[in-house]
Amino acid sequence: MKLDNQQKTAIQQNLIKFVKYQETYQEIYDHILTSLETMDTIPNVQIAYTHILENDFGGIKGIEIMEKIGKKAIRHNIQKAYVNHLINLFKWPGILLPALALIAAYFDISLFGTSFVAAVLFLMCCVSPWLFLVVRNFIIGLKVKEVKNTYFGDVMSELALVLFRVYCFAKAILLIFKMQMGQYIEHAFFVLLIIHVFIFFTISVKQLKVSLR
Amino acid sequence: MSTNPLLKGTLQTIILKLLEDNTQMYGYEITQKVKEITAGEIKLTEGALYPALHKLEAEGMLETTTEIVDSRVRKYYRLTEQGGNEVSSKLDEAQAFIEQLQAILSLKPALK
Repeated sequence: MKLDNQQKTAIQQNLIKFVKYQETYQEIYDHILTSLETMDTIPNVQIAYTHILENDFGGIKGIEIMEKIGKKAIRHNIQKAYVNHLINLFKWPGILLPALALIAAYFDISLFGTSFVAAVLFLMCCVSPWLFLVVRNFIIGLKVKEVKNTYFGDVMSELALVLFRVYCFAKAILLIFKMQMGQYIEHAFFVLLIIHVFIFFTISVKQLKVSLR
Repeated sequence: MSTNPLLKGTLQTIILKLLEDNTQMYGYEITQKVKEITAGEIKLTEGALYPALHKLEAEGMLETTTEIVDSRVRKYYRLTEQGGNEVSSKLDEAQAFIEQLQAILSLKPALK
């Protein structure tokens, strides 16, 4: 039985309330509508919809578990890609990047405290992954009309500021104990940050191209 | 119609085999195909099917394409080259497991 637009909208609005990710939303919505369309008669669409949701997906709890497993798989995939990129940075020509970052650190791109420009550069490096995600979500929202965040977007947003958070945490701890972060540690952190941002952008841009295809 | 817990370990094999035979399928289609082949004896739960599909996709065994059907997005799954190579080894694994199970439980294969 074909559903009218009002019935479809009611199902969409209900699903949107508890489905967290775009991939799950699209698949469950398509699944439910296909199921309903194969029925000869539906005395009550709402009851039939709830029945499918409970029986096929295990209700809201089942969908939560489903999304948790889905996100875990994507996170694992991203972690694998991250490690592969990291390994490549120890081979030619990838090694040029950490080498250049090390040289820059050696020539003392002094971090916080000594050079304002270096501090701004450092901050830009820290937040650029997050800014990229904001722009990415905007572009995808316009082009693909996604109503929810994707597994990929969610995992990458966790990854985006991870080093910055570690840095702030370390700074805060040192501040509590009235200690200073050594310049070598600051420089090492700068090198790590450059590597992290590079890998983050490599993975994100590749996926953005796939999303917009 | 049952959701057989014994299926749990073979769900990926079932998906890969179905996709080898059918080029590309979407989630609902896979559940219906299993229902049809087993004359309604086995029902794949969607709560298990979709995570398995997502996992296989993340592992590079499957790739997806989307199509707009009746103003909604439909996600089709198909085997990648890696997934295609995996099918026969998964089937061999399943075959060996069934034979071992028959031996342990002293089951005789059904005569046709």
